Amino acid sequence: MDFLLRLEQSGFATWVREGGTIWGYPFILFCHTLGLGTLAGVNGSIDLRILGFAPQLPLAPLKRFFPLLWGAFAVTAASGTALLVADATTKLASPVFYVKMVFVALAIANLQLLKTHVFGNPRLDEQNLPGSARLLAVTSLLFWIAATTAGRLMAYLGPVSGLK
Amino acid sequence: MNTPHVHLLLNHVPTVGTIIAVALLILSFIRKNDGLRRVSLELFCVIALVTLPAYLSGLGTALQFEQRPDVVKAIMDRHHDAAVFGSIFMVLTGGAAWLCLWQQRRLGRSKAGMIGTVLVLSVVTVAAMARTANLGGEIRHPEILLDPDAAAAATAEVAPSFLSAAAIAKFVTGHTWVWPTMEAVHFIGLWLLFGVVVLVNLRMLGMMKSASFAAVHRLLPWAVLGLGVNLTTGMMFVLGAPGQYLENIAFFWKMGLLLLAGLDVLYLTVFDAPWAVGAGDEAPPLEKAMAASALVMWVGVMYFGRMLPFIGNAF
Amino acid sequence: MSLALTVSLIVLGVVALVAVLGYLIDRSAEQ
Repeated sequence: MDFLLRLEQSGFATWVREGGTIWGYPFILFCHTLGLGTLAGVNGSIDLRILGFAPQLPLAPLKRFFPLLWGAFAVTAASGTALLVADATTKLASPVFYVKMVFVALAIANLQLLKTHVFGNPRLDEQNLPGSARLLAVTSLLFWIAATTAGRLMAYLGPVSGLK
Repeated sequence: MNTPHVHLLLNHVPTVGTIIAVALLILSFIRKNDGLRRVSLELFCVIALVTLPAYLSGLGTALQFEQRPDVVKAIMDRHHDAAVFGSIFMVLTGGAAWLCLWQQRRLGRSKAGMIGTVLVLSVVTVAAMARTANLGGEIRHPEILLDPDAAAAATAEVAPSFLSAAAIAKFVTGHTWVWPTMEAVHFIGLWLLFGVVVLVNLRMLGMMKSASFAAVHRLLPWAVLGLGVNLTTGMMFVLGAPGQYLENIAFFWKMGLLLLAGLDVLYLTVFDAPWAVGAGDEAPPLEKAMAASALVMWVGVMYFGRMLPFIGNAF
Repeated sequence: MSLALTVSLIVLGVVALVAVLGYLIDRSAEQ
C-alpha cells in the first residue's frame, strides 16, 4: 500500500491527475480509447473474417495488420499504465480491475495464438480453416467484449475514486 | 444563427425530404427505373443522417425554451414525443435503405423484401413526421389552432408511452444499471465500427492490395451495426441528461464529424470509384484522400466523445 | 441481481442480437 501511495504521489502521477491540462488525464484517456478501438476493432474484424464473413477477402494479407495490432496494444498498455499510476491505490484495490486485466491477457494470448496457429500457415488460403481457428475467433471476440465491459464497470464497482 | 434557427432550418429535411423521397421511390416502381430507385434510397440515407442534428437542435431549443412564459410546455412535450417516435422510424428507414443499396451494389439488384420494407417504413415515417411537424407548429403558431385551449390541455398520447421522451429519460436515470450498461455497449459498438472502418480505409490507402475493395466492402454492415448500436445508446444518453450534451461544444463537434463520416460510409457503399478498386489495384489519389480524411473524422468522433466531460466543463 | 451480472447479461444479449443481425445481413449478400 505504501509503494502504491508513493506511486500515486509521484511527480508524473500527480501531473496526470491534477495537471489541469487537457494533455494530461483527458488525452491519456483518449489514447486508451483509440488504442482499444484499434486493437479490439481490427482484431474483431479479423475474427469476423475467420468466422466466414467476407469470404472473398484473402486471409493471408490480414497478417499485415499484426504490427498495427501490437502498436495499438503498446499505446493502450502505456496509457493504461499512466492511468493506473495516477490512481494506483484505488484501482489496485478494485476486483473489477483484475477481472479486466485477466480478460485483456486472455485476449492478447488469443491473438498470439491466432498469429501462430492460423496466420503461421503459409497455405492459409488454399485450405479450409481448421475448426480450432473458428473457436479462437469466437473466444477472441468474447474476451474483448468482456474486457471492454469490465473496463467500463471499473467506474461503478469496488472502490471508486473521483477519476472516471 | 442560434439553436432555434438551426432547428427551424433543418426540420424541413425529415418532413419535406421524406415526402419527396417516398414519391421518388413510388415513381421508380411505376417507371421501372433503377436510377430513380437508387436516388430515392440514397436520399433516405442522407435524410436519416440529417435527422440527427435536426432532432438535437430541437432538443437544444426545448432546453432553452423551458422557462419561457410564452411557450406552453405541454405542447412542446407532445411535439418532442412525436419527434422521438418519428426519428426512430427515420433512422430505421435510412438503415433499411442503406442495406438495399449495399445489396444492390453487390448483387446488381436489391431484394424485393428489402425494398418493400423500406417502402413500409418510409410511409410510416412520413406520417410520423407530418404529425411531429403539426405539433411543432402548434408551439409558436397559435393562428393555426382551431381550439387553443384544447391544444394546451390535450393529453392523448402522440406515440407509445414507453417511447416518450420522459419515459426514456426516466428509464435511463431511474435504474442504476442502465447507464453503465449503455456505456459498455457504446464502447463495444465503437470498436466494432472502428475496426471495419480501419480495415476498409487502410485498404484504400494501400494496405492488403491483394484484396479487392469489393472484398472488404462485404464487411460494411458490421460497421453500420456498430453505428446503429451507438446511435441507440447515444440517444439514450442524450435523453437521460440533455444538458450535459447540448450545452457542450465537444458534442457539437462530435455530431458534426459523425455526420460527415456517415456520408463517407454511404459514399463507399454506392459510388463506382471505390468499387472499381480491384485486387492488386492502387486506389486513385482522390479515393486515398477520402480514406485518409475518413479515418481522421472517425478518430475525431472518438476524440470529442472521450473529451465530453473535459471540454464541456471548460466552457 | 448484482450490477455486474445485470450489465453483463444485457451486454451479452445486445451482442447476440448484433451477431444474429450481422449473420442474416451477410447471408443476404449471397446469391
